[in-house]
Amino acid sequence: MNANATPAIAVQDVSKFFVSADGRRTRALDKVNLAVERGEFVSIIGPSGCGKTTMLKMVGGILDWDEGSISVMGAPVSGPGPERATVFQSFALLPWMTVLDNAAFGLKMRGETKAARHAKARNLLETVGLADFANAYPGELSGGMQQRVGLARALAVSPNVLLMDEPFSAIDAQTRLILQTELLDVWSQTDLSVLFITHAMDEAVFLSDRVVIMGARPGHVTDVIDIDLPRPRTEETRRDPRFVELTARVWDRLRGLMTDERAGAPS
Amino acid sequence: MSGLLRQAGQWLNPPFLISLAMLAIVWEFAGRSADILTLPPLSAVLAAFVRLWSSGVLTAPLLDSTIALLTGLAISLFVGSAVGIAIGLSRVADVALGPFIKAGLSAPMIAFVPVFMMIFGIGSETRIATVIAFSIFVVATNAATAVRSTDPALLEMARSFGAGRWRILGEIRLPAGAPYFLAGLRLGVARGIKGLINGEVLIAIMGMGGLVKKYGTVFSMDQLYAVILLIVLYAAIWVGAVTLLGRLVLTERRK
Amino acid sequence: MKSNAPARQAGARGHRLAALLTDTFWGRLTLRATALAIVLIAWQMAGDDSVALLFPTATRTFQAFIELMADGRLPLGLLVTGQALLAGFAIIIGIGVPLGILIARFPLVDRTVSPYFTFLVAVPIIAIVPVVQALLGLTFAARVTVIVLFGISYVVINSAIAVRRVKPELIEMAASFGARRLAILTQVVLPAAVPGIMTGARLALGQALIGMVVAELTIVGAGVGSLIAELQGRFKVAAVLAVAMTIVLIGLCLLSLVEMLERRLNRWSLTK
Repeated sequence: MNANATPAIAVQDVSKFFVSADGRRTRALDKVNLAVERGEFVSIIGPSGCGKTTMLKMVGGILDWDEGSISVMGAPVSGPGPERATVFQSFALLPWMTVLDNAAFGLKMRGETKAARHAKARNLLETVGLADFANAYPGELSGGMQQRVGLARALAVSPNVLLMDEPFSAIDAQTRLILQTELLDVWSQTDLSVLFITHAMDEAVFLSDRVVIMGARPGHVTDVIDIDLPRPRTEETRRDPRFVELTARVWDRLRGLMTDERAGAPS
Repeated sequence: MSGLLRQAGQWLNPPFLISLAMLAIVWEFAGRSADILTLPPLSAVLAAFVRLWSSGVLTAPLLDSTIALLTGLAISLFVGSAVGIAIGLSRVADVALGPFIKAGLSAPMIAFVPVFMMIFGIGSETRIATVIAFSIFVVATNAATAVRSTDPALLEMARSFGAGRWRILGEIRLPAGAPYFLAGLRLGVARGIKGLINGEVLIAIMGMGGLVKKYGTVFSMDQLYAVILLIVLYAAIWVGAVTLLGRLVLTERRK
Repeated sequence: MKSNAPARQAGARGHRLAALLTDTFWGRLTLRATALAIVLIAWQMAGDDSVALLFPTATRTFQAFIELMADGRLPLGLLVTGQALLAGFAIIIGIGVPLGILIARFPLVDRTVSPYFTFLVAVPIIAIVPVVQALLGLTFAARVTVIVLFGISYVVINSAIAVRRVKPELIEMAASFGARRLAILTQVVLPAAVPGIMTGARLALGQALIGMVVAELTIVGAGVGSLIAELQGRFKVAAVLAVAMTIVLIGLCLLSLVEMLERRLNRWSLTK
């Protein structure tokens, strides 16, 4: 009954310590609270070292935390699960496999038959516009195309939650804009909840329902900004005064964090 | 310096030392209990090493081998570097000679030792030839890489200041390629020592390799193992010294 | 400036010829054939067939080769020797690759075992041959052991490095899709390590060939070793040279074969 009421991702009072080589414990994340509602698109933005990628890995179940709780779709996280899929900053494609096999990799790990997983992967390659490149190798594709394969691979396992770790940061600025629009297109046709890590303010504002701003040392949530831009968002959105205003607001908060950091820095 | 420490760490780590100690104990007891002719106890080998070393039997072969090694290496370094630099500078030389160098680098050159023995006789020339055959190609390959790998931006800069071909070689290419020359030296020495010992064992009457043959054929096992120990130490010290030299030169330059 | 012009023109012409020789297929072939011809002619002129123990000419060496092939002694010797090489190389791969993987995955194995292989690389293995001979006698097993000792460390070390260098994000990716340890090993780590393992195999083959010759010359059996010993005893320099060159050329062919295989398996990493 309650299932629909629980958020897609719920992070409660999560702290994380790193033990450095000389044995000292440093706090990497300090009592982070975060919720992504079902079907919501939430971005995390913050200076480097604020633990945003660490956060994403913990939600993905490939990194442990020390205090607090994380649950996804109402169930506590204790490792990777079929309801989550990740898109990686470095694409993380297997260079010896064709585009089709890469897109089908997640399904293969779930033990699906070759025919079934290839059919699904082909479908998704079509969705991301790479149907003609099914038999190519990742090394033959541009960065933007490689990340489309990464997206197809994640979508192929039909997740409820999509985790995206700075997916467009290694891609040139023009292609990045196009990929943002494409991502929203794909997302709007599903009921996916998305947690999106980025360091680009316009990207965060353009894509998200809410932007979470994190500060560093230790990583903590400082602000959450609601992005009330209408959907569907298009190229027009980028010229909307409201878009410019929201981006400026994100920048104000971020700049505050960065000046703090400079003032607080020892030298 | 951290690289050196790490290298020392590979040898001075407890699991390895424990396994080494266990091997030594097993060797000692196997050598003592089972009365195998071919496996003298470790203590006997070490005793033989000390005995041979202090009696001075090892001094002459050691010196003799070292002179042959240095002669061969000098020729390899001189000729190998010259050929390598030519290949690195000229595409024509590269295309014409490259395949021979590459072949010499990987081919089992040791097959020529019997030929050297017949042509040069049972003498020092044979093992010097072996040292050269083992080391010259790696020196040439690294010299070519050294000259070729110069940052094009540096070359352009030098040309814009009007430097000619030879000035660029002397002022830019050679200094910039120093790490590769040093790598060539290190690999050349490592291979040269193998060539030396290979040659000497096959020639069978000269230097340290000759001692291996001498004690090996009469099954004087404790002395044989002692000589093997000497050769191993000899090779390790040479390679260690050249590695250290390279590191020192490079760190000095960085300052 | 002006007085410089003719020289510069001549230089440009030289450049064009050089480019023709180095940048076209036929140009390279011509250049290489010329270089080979010069080497052969120099060999022919440097050779002296008047006295048996002098450096033989190219033609006499080739004659000796034909004779050895015709009476079947060289092919037979190579066949016998090749068996030891094959057995040795199979053992090198069969033990070396799994051992390298273990070293990369388990720090304790690494710290215990790796120093021995670093040591084997640095040391002239031929010095240990008398020990092998004393323990195993003048047997096939002794020759195979020598070959293994020469080559195995290269496969072990390169396999370990290759496995260790697999990008962590690929392993993370597989884990995020729920891959278990075994699946990660077979689906991600091993395929990614194949090029490095092949490099190790190529280096090991080069060393195994040296080991093969060493084994043949020191632990004389029925292979090319005994053939060389016999020819040496009869002062047949040209024949010994012919045998040596045959071994070297066959060795080069085998090495190119492995290199081709290496490149084929490596295609995807080159397109990156």
